[in-house]
Amino acid sequence: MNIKQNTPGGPSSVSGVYNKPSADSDEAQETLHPPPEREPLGRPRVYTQAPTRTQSLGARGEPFSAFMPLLLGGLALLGWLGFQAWQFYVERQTLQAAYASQQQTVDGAAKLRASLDTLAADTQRLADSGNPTARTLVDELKKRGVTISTAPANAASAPGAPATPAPAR
Amino acid sequence: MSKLQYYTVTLIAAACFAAMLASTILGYNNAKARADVNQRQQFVQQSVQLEGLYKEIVRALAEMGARNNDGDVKAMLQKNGITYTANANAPGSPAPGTPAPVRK
Repeated sequence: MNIKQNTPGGPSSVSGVYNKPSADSDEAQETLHPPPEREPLGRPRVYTQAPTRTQSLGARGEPFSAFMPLLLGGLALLGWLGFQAWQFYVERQTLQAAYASQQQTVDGAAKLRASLDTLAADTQRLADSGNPTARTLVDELKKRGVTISTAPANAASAPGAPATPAPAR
Repeated sequence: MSKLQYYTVTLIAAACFAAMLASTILGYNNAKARADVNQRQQFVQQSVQLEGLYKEIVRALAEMGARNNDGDVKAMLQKNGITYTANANAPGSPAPGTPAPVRK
């Protein structure tokens, strides 16, 4: 800004450039270079939106969404777990069928064991009472490694839980 | 992420959790059922071996009972549902006959 100033000492005029520290000038500078916004110390800046400088943009300029990866991952996990659950269900059906088909055989086996236990115990009792035939049989079985126990057998009572029979080889 | 997308992903995650829970329970139950089936199979296989022993004992008791004309043994076998008849014409039989144990 060029101004002329008349000094009280003489008619001389002084010519020069003077930068007046006016408010207009400051406003103009602030408009061109606005000062950075400053937060009070100790208070973190809170973003209502993600900062645009770090946000990744897609081909159309839209921000990437986590929906599609989550959807694909979730669907894959769901498919795998669902398939596994279905396999387990089929296996369960097969095992139940096998269990049911075993029932008759197990019942027969339990009956056989009960008969064997009774017969062996009766034979042992007969041998203990002095019957020569039973004693011969018990001795012969003992030679072969079969011992007869007269204790009450708990075998064959539970088809699902087999127990050791009285005579054991 | 819109509201619809959020609920979609949440629904899928809940389904995954339910499937995981079902798989775990089914797998645990299947392991138990498999162990039961294997135990019963083992029980049956052992019983097959014991069946041979049972038949041997019955045959021996019947043979010796018939040979010695042992009434106690015959009564014991009858008590267990086993009867036999002595075959007087059986060749090579030192006893009155070869017993034929028959289970009732």
